[in-house]
Amino acid sequence: MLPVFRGLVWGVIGFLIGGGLTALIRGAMGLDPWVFGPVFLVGYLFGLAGWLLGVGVWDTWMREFLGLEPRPYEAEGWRRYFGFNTDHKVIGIQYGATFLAMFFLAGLLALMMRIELMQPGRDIFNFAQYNRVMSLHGFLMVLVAVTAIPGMFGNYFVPLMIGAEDMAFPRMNALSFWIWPPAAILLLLSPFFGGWDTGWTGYPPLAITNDPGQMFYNLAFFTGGLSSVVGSINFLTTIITMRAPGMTWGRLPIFVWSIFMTSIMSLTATQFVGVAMLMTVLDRVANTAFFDPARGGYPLIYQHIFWFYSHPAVYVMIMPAWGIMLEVLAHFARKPLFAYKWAVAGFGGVTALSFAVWAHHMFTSGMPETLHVPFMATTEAISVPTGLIFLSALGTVWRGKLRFKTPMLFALGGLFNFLIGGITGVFNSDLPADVHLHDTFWVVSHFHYTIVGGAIFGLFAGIYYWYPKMVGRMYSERLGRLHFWLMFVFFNLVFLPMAWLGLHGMNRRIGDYPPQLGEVNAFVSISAFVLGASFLIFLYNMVMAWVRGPVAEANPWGARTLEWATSSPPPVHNFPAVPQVLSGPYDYGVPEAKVHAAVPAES
Amino acid sequence: MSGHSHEAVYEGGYTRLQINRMGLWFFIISEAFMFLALHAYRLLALGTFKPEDLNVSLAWVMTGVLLLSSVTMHRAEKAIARGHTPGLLRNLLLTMGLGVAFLAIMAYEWSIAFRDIGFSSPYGSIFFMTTGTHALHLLSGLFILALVYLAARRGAYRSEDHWGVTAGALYWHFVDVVWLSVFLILYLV
Repeated sequence: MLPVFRGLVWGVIGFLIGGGLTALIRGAMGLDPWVFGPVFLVGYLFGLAGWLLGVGVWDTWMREFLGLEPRPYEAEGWRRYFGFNTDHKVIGIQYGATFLAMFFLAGLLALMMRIELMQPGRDIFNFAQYNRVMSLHGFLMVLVAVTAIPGMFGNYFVPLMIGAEDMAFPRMNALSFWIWPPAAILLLLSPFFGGWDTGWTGYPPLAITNDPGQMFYNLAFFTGGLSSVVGSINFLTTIITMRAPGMTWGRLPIFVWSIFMTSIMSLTATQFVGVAMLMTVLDRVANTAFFDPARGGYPLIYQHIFWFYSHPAVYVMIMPAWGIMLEVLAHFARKPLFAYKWAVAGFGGVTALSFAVWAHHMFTSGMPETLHVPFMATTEAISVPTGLIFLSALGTVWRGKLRFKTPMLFALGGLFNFLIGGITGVFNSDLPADVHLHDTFWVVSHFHYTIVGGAIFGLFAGIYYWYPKMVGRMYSERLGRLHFWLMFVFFNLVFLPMAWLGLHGMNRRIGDYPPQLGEVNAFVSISAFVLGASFLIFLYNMVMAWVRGPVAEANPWGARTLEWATSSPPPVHNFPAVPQVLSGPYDYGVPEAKVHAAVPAES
Repeated sequence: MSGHSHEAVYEGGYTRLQINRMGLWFFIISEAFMFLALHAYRLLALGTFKPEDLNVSLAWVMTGVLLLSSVTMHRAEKAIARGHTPGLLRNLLLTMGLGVAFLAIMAYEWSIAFRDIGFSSPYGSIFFMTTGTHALHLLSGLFILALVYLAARRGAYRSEDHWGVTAGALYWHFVDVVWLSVFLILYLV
């Protein structure tokens, strides 16, 4: 039986056992046995355990721990992707397929929102329905933004770029992927249980008192957090310990640095949102009083705990994208990465400061005023290390021999978009301005410019850059450019007017607006549909190239980093023998530069 | 790990044992942040407030039990480092026994605290959540030590190769240190 099916069966069994046990114990305690909250919570936790055991944990670890012969997952062809495969390249593709699907689903939800917002007044949704659609859209997109690049490209390319055979903990790598399907199922089922209407931020008191669907969000977030932590352990250990001989820290590709710094944040801060989710769930099902003002609880502390993770989370979203952008810029400008050490320092500075700015999301929350100025200062300060990264990008492009292939277009477009997003962010960091901007569409514009304009454009830069390596075929450059220009132009036409709308009184998280804003909103909605259509071109290109595109060579871009020194796609063990790294990865046009690495033939 | 026959050589010369230890340390660092978040709630929401009927002496006993269990766990590890499996087995059993004793005392404490403090206040909520989260970590530690014990009975460990024991010991000491932080923040502060 395919492991996915066995995982499903054991997961359902676990769910029934957990739920049943809970009802039994509640009945024995004299409580109403079949209350949804507690039964579903325990059922889910047992179900998650059952799923993980069935999909591979039993065969891989448990059998070994109990002294039985472990049964590693062995399969060929398409079956490799439906089981506990420990090959980091397979896992990368699994992440890619899953999170691209999530991205398009969340995009459809956005289009539904834009249908409602096309005209003032109620169209297809009432306020409650709109907020549920909005919440699911936002949360799915947050998950994509946090996970897609590290999951797909971090997994696939970090081992290759450092000359390693796989990650430090290949079985844990498989585990970190297979944790996601239960979270995805929760989110797909949530509309049938009333969804949740708090937005992706899940603030109490509303999160304690609303429909049962809220818990689906809490549990999905907690589940995803588990995967993040496991993945971070793997990335940090791999990058520290498994670099090939000669791959000193000073020769590490900038993308690997970006994953390293990102993993420091996701290793640590994620635990805070896990606690916030658990506290919410306990308040809902166990009658605890963490956030209930009537019993002395403090809803504001949820926000502190939540944002202590969720602010670093936005750097988790953008830093891997910057890593990809800087890689692409260097290789497609055919120049050394400008000020490499300062770029690394920039990543480090953003990582360190990211833990010190969270309360800028809470300026209007009623938190103590003494916190206002310090958080404004730290937030403005974080633009300094960000600027270092930006200047490295600009210096790399300056006087370069630019090849405007699709990856380069997305990298340049991403830089442009992020600049706008970053500038709007400075206004948010300024307290007197933020008092007016908070909860308006100005903020919506800001974070879409940074996350979509920056991180998602970076994601697509990576997809086009690494497509030939992963698939072994080349995509159509003509269709790639068409996708880029449509996406770039219409992305800006959707989100730039939102800044204007915010300044003119359009609030977020509500399915209506002042009627005089109708025309601009109609324009935004139509642009959004064209933006959505641009992805059809992307999908067509990806599928057709896979099916009958020209076969790709090992190094179609002529780039120096190690993933290009092996076949497209790479063999199972990545390299025939351990590479010996001899110089930096960006020494283009450097007189008498050595090759980046020598890959010996079969040893 | 893979089919390759050669021992991989890395920049920095890390061995498999060092790689495993590093991974476990990162896990421990991550879990420490979970308890940091819980303690942050306690301090932000409640400062140093403690209810009158909080049984601090019982907590002292629990602390002693866990500290003792770390001593026995350390002895277990030292024993197998010398290749002395009977010492390993005996001290593992002692450690697990002390861990179970801790949980038993805690169950008793909970029964009283449930009656006297209850979930229904912020202090009660954070008290049960923090001690409960710690207890779950301790329970998982017991599960791990049980597996280590079974493996030791099968003769899986030698003086030069006993990662399972080292890992179990490291995790167990972590659980102990977390308890010290819980004891400090919930009972003493």
